[in-house]
Amino acid sequence: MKEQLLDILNDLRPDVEFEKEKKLIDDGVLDSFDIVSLVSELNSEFDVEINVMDLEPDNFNTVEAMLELIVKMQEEG
Amino acid sequence: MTKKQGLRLVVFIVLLGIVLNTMIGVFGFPPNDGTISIKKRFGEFYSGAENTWDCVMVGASCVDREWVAPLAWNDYGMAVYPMNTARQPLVLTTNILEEVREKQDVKLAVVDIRGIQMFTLRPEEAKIRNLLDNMKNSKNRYQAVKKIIKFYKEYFSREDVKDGQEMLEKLDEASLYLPFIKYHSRWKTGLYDSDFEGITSDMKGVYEEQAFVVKEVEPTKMVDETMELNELQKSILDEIVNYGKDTGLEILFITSPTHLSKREVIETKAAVRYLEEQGEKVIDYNTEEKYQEIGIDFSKDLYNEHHLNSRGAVKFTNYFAKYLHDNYQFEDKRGKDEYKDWDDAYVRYLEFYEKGWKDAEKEK
Amino acid sequence: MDFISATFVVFVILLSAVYFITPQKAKWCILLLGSYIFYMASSVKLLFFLVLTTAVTFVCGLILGNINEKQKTYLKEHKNEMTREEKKAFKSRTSGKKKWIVAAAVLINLGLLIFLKYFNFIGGNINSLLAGMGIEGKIPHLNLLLPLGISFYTLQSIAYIVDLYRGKYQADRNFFKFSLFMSFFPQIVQGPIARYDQLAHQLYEAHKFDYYRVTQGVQLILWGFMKKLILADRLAVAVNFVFDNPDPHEGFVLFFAAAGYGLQVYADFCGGMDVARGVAQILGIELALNFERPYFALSIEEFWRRWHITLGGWMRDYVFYPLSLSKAFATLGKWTRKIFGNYIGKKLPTFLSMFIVFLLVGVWHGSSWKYVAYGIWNGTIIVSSILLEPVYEKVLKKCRVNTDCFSWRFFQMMRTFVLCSFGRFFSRGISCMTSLDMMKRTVTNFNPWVFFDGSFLELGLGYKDFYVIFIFILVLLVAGVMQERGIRIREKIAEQNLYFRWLLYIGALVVLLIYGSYGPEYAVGEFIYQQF
Repeated sequence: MKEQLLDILNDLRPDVEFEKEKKLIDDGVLDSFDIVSLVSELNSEFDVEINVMDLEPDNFNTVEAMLELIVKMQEEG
Repeated sequence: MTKKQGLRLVVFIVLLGIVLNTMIGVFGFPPNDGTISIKKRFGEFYSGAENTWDCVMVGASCVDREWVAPLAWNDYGMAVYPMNTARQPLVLTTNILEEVREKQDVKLAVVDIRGIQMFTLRPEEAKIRNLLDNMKNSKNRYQAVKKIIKFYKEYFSREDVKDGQEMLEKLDEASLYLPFIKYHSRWKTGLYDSDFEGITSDMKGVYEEQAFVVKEVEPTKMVDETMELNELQKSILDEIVNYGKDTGLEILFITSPTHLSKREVIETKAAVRYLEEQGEKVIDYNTEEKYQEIGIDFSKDLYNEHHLNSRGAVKFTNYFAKYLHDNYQFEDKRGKDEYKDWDDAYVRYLEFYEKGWKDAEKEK
Repeated sequence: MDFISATFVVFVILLSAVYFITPQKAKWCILLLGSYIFYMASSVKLLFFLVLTTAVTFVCGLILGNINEKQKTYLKEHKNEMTREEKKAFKSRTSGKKKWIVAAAVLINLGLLIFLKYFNFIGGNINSLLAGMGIEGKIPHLNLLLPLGISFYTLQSIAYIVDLYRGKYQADRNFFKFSLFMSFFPQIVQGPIARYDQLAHQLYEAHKFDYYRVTQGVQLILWGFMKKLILADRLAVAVNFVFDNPDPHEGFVLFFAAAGYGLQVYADFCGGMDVARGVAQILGIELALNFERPYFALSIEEFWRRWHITLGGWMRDYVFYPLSLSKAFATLGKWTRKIFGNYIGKKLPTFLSMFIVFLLVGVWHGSSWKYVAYGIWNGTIIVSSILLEPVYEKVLKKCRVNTDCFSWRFFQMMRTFVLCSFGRFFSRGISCMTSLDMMKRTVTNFNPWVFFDGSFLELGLGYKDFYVIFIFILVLLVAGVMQERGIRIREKIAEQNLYFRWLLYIGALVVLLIYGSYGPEYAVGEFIYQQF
């Protein structure tokens, strides 16, 4: 799953080294455009429904946080 | 807050107060052409010895143009100081007298009433500031500001004042209470050494700038027409009269001798008559008879339509000092130690007078 | 009560004193009292609208909170009995109920704002539209007064309601405390637009007097006053001079006015924020940052991320994300992808929602077509720059431009500055048409001689004013560079010797009082004796 996520991320922003970044949102690495495209990609790729209330910086600051969110979403359905 | 921090705060506030006070003092009324003599006069008033004056003269510009205090001192040993300002608002007369009496126990106040004309009463900013912005902060100044703001509104709300509305909008009250609000912008126009060091008159308020200019002026034409003062004008005179009664200060009203237009003759005479009716002491120096007694020569003794030059001033001083000497028993204080600066002023004046006319001759 | 005034300073000193001597439990009451006094100093009548919005928001919030609680306990109790599908259905049932409440609250609050702020604009436009069709429009022009801060507290209330809908936090159960959150005086007039979860608890907690914190707050206030009085109000003289009567001016003079207006607004708004944050800091409350050196932005998009940050953040969370992630937009995306292909098609729905955001931001500033144009201007630049990015990259590669050096970034900064300044024609111009005309005359008249023939000295400012403007911008620049490098200037100052700190405080105050642009100006010759 992590591979899949990294593929999506690198596709989105080839200039960012995602595994090194710890504050993707707080430092403004990813802007709101990126987030919107990312979320729609994730939703279709992992068959989840990430919606507006999940768009907290804490959920997207690191790759690990994103993975956690996806897993949680898949469990909840 | 700990004790140490509290103490520190107090020291800081004191320090800040000193700095700000100095700054406000420096960025004050500008010592420019036409205003420097006022600044000097007030400088001497505030820094000079207390309770040394016998009499104060107040009014508009004519007063210092006609009165040479060192001459009267030399002749009679009387200390009569001119505390006029250019276009001094007559409505503030009691405030200036109050200010003087804080420092000087004068027995007599000579009030020039030519400022009673409606046009002259017009409270323009420059007129107000000439006086108020040279006064130190005090309760009296505060009251004067309040009074002039009220008067300003009253005057410009009158139907016979055409641009009243426009002028009302212009009034900036805050900067009258705290002139720094206006004068801080003097960083653009420049400051002078006198802003920092202060400046005082060394000839007892003698007018200097155009004292040696001569302009041939038509003598004042007398007219028979008369008029009645309006309520506003009357109330101003009443206030001064009442002030004299309340404080026991003797007041002598005069009209300074100068060239008057037809309208001015009518309006000042109305004021003279009004005061006489109230039983006040008034001397109108703008009559054919008085001109002759004083010896005013309209072709030589004025520097413009409205003001005596130093030659005219000497004539009037000689005349008026004698009048004061004959009618008011001021002690002759010549030779007293605390009046040494009056002697010095006399010496300086003689020099100033001689040199001034010599230079004026040369320029011709 | 104006922020930048002696009255306000006195008010803050008195309020802080009372706040610190009041017992812990009642401290927040002092803030509430102070906030309402502050509000009533501007208008007593219009307080009604603030109270109304506060009440509506509070009650709707309470209902939403109760639904949230019930849902939570129900799910907890029946955790094991329910299937995933059942849970889902239950959730969507409650969220349906919640939607009605949200709709009611937003409708009332936003409705008030729209009615008071835009009624005359909308009505006037409908009338003229009808007139165009030969029908006499009968929508009257109402004499409406805009309540102080309504544009800010309305957004704050909507954020609170929507956050409760999203279940982000619990509803406030104390009406008076909530009233304080809605009316806190440093931020009611012009923001920052606060989020309930960030501000409210700070307001309710009791803060003790802290010497260090107070000095930091005072520094910030002083700095804000300087920006406003030394720079903004001075620039305003020339800016107003040109914009009030633009016809005689051409080319660079017009550009100067537009750029000057941008700087003026920055210094004015950012200065106001510094004062707001400084005052709050004295009381122990941290307000959100609203400006992060916008003029260092490399693109318009970045500029708007650094400018009025709390408004941008609000728009992002409550307009942009919900729109972009809505089902309708997802459907739209599928459709556009079919037509325009993957690259553009995927982006189009996002562009649309962003365009909507910029239109809203534009209109939020004021009810006039020029603000619509202002929104379109900014939206268009951002969209086109993203769309054209591949083209830029090709051109830069072909021309062998090194994009990894200071000079290139400086160029980008300047480019952003110029584009931003042009946008200012809309926000300051008297009307949309005048603004367009001014823009045209800026680019069609190349008049470099105005830099040398003294044209700029005829705009109401003397050369000494320009020195002061120049020096102060330099100071801002240096401070900005330091902050960009992560230096916390106020903390650095606090590390210096007492003597130096005092010199700095007193010096800054003296500079502010002397060089500030306030009061009637003294002119040479004013007292020269004229006629008697």
